Amino acid sequence: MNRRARRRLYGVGRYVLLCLWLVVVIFPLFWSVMTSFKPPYQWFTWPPTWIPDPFTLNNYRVAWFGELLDTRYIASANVQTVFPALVNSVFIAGTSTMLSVVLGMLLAYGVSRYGILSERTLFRLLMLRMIPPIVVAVPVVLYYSTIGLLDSYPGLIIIYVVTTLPYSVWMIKSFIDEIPIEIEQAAELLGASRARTIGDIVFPLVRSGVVATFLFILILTWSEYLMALTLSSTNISTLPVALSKYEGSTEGRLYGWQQALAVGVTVPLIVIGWAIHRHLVRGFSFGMLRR
Amino acid sequence: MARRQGRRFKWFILPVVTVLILFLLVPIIFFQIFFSLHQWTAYIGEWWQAEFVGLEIFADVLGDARFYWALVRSLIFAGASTVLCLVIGFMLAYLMREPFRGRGFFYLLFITPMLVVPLAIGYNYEMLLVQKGPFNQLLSWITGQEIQVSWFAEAVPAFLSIIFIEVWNWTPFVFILMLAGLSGMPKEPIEAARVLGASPLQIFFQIQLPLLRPVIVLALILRFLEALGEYPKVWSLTRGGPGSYTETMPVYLYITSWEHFNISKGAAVSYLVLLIVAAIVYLCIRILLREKRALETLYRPSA
Amino acid sequence: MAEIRLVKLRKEFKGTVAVREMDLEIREGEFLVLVGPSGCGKTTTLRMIAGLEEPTSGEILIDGRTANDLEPGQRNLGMVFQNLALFPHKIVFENIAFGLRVKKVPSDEVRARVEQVARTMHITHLLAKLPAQCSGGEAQRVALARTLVTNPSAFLLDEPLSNLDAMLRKEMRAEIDALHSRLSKTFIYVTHDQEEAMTLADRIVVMRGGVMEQIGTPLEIYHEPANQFVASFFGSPAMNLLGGEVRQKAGRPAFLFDGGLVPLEQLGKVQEGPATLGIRPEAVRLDGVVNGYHGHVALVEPLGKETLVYLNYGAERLLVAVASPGLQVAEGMRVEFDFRGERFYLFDSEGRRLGRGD
Repeated sequence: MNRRARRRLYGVGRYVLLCLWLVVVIFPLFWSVMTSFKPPYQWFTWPPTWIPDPFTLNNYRVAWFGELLDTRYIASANVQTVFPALVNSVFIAGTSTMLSVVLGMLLAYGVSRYGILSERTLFRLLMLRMIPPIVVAVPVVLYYSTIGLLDSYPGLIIIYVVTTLPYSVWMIKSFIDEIPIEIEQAAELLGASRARTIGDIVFPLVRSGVVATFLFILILTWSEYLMALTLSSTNISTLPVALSKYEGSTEGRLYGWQQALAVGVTVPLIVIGWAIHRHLVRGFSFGMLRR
Repeated sequence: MARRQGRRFKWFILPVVTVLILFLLVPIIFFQIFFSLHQWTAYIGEWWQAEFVGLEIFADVLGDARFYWALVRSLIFAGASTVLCLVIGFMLAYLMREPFRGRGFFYLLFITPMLVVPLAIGYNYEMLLVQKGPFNQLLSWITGQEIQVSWFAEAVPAFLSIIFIEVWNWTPFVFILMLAGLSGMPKEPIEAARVLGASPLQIFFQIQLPLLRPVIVLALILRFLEALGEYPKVWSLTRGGPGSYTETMPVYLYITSWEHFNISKGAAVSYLVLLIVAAIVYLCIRILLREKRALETLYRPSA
Repeated sequence: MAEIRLVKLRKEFKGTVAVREMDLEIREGEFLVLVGPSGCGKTTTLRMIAGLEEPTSGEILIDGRTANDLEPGQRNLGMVFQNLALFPHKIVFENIAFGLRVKKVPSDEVRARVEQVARTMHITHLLAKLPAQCSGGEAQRVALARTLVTNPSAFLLDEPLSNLDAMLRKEMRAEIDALHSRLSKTFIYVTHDQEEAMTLADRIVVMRGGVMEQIGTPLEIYHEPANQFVASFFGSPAMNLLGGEVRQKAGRPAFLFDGGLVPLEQLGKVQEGPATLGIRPEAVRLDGVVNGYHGHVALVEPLGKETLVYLNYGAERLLVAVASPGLQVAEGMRVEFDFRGERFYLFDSEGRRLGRGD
C-alpha cells in the first residue's frame, strides 16, 4: 500500500476513534440539556424520551425564578429562590479567585525570579491541595464555629483561597518562566525601576496567562461543593448547594427543574473553559515539561 | 542587587501566605487530634467539655471493618479511574498531536467534561443510569439484546459506574497534560529515528514514551490523589449505595460525621486518613522531584 | 552503491512552491552540495530525498527504482540534521547503536560496530555520557557516528555545521571531507555558506526560489556563473557589480558606467541597453595603473595576507579591490584602477549572462 493511502487510512481510523469518545462525551450533556426542556410528564418515561416534544422553557422559569424546594432540612421549611445563591456564588467565587490569583502572582514572581521558595517547598504546596477536603471538613466546621466564621463569607473565601493557591502559583509561574529574564535585565539597564519593569514589561507579557489562570480557578471555586455545603446554612449558600436541594425531594424525581438549574450553573463554566483553552496547555506543565 | 530585592520581596509576601495557610492548618490539626482523643456527642455540651478517652476512639476505628473497606474502595476507585484516565487521555492526545481538519472542534468538546460542575455530573448520570433509562436503552440498541442492568441496585455495576463518571469527568485534565507533553517534544530526534529505520511503534516506546515520563508521572500522581478525596460525584450518584458498596473513604467519613453525628469517630478517621495521605504525598514529592531533576539533566548540560 | 536521481520533482506547501520541477542526477560517490539563500528549497529537496517530505509530483529514484513510496527508514540513507537531533535521554553509545538495534542486530555485533565507529570518530571517551554533557563538536561527531554505523549507501547532511563556531566549523569541515574520501560514498550536503560549498563539493547545485540556477564544479561556478545571482553569491568578498549601459560607440560595443568606458569587442554581438558589469575584486588592479579609471579610497581593510580596498568612483559608487600587502594605500587617496584585460562578466537588466570578456 503506498504511503498516501496508508496515511489516509490512518486519518480515517483517527476520526473513528475520536468520534467514539466524542459520543461518550456528548451523550450525557445532550441528555441533560434535552431534559431541561422537557415537560414534567416526559422526565421519567419508559421508553425514555430523547427529544422533548414540546420544548418548554418552564423548567428554567421554575428553577431560576421560582421557589427552590428545600426538603433537606427538617427543622425549617426554608423556601427560597435561587437568586441569593447565584449572588453568593458570583461574589464568593469571584473574590476568592481574585485573591488567589493576586497572591499567586506575587508568589510566582518571587519564586521564578528570586527563588524565594525551594522546589521541594513548591511541590509540598501542590500536595497541600491534594488533601481530601472531607478530611478537614469537620475540624474546619468546629474551628469556624468557635471563632465565628461559620456561615460567613470570609470563612469560605479563605478556604477557597488556600486550596486554589497551589494551582495559581504553579500556573502563573510557568507563564513567567516563559519570559527570558534578559528582557527584565535589559529594562533595568535602561534605567527602569523594578516596579516599572514588572508593570510595564513583564505583566503585559503574562497577562493572557494570568487571565487564563484566573478563569481556571474561577471554574474550581464556582463548582466546589463540599466546603460550601458544610460551611453554610442560611447566610451563604452557593449554586452547587442550591442544586443539591433537588436531590432528596419527596415529590419524586424532579429531573427537569434539576437539569435546568444544572445547565444554567454549568454553561458559564463551559464558555469560560472554551475561551481559555489555548492557555491551558501552556499553564499545565508543573515544571515537568521542557521549555 | 537582585538578591537584596529578592530578600525584601520574600519578607513581604511569604509571611502573608504563611500566616494564611497556618491560620487554617494549625487549628485544623489541633481539632483533629483533640476530637480523636475526646468523645463528644454534639448534643451534650460544648466541645471543650468533651470527655477524654485516650486512644479508645482510635481503637474503635481500627477495629471497624467498614473503615478498612472504605479505604480499599477508595484505593481501587482512585487507581482504576486514574489508569483509565491516563490510557484514554493519552490516546486522545496522541491522536491529536498533529494538526488535522476539525482538530480544534474535537479539542473544545473533549475538554468540556472537566468544566461541568461535578455535582451536576452525578445528578446527570443518575438520570442516565436508571434501570429503565436511556443508557440501558442505548446498550440495548447497540447489542441488540435487552439490557436492563440495574446500575444502582447491584454492587459491581454501581462501583463501575462511579469509576466511569470519574473517568468521564477527569480524562480532559490528563488529556491536556499529555497534549502539552507531546507538543513540547522535539521533532528532529523523531525524524532522525525515522531515517534510521525505526517503526512507529519503536519510535513510540523508545523515544516518545521515555521523554514523556515526567508528565505521565505527574498526571498519575495528581489524579490519584485527587480521586482519593472525590466526594460530590459519588455522593450524588449512589450515596455510597447500594448498602455501602460504593462507600469510598470520603463518603464513609461524611456519613460518620454528619449522618451518625459521631464527630469523634470522624475526627479519628480523618486523622488516620490524613496520615496515610501525608505518607503517600511524601513519596510523591520525592518521585516528582526526582523526575524533574532527571528532566533537567537531559536538556541542560552539566559538563 | 547509490545513484540518486530526481525527476521533475516538485513540492508545494499551501500555496507556495518550494521546489519547482527539479531534474537532477547525483553521481555515485560524489560530494554534491545544494547551496542557496534561505528559502530556496535546498532543505526541502534534501528532506524529500530522505523521505521526510512527500513530493507533490515527480519521482525520486534510488538505484534506478522509484523510492517515492518508501518510508525514510527503508531507503538506507544516513542523515545528519542541523541541530543534530540526538536522543537526549539515551547515552551516546545507545544513540549510535539505535539504528542497529532497530534492525535487531545482535548485541555483540552492535557493541563491536559502535566501538569501531567511536574509534574512527575519536569519541570513545564519550560513550557513557548523555548528549547534554557533550560539547558542540563532540555532539556533531556523535551525530555522524550514528549514521556511519548503519552503513548507509548515501549520506544526507542538512547544514550540519551552522551551529558551530568558526574554528570548530573549519575543523569539522575537514573531517567531513576526509570522511567522504575514505568512504567514497555519495554525500548530499545542504548549506547556505558559499565557502563551505566551494571547499567541500565535487559539484555544486545553486538554488534560488525553488529553482536550480546552475550546476557545476566549484571552479565552473566561480569562473563561469550562469547569471548575476550565481556570480554575486560566490566569492568573498563578493563580485563587484557596476551598473551602466551597453552602447555602440563608433561601431564598437562598449560598456558605459560612471567611471568611464569599457570596450566590449571580444563579446561579439551585444544588445544595447541597461546592463551590469561584474568584476571580481581580485581582478581589479591598483598597482602601476596607467590610463585607468579614477577613484579615491574610501576604506582600507587589512586582513593580513591581503588588504581590501574600497574605492569610490563616479558618483560615490563602491568597488572592492584586493591589494597585495605591499601596496601603500590610505583612505582619501586618489587612485587609478583598471581591470581591462582581466576576466569580467556582463549581465542584462534581468541578470542573465550576456557574455564574458577577458
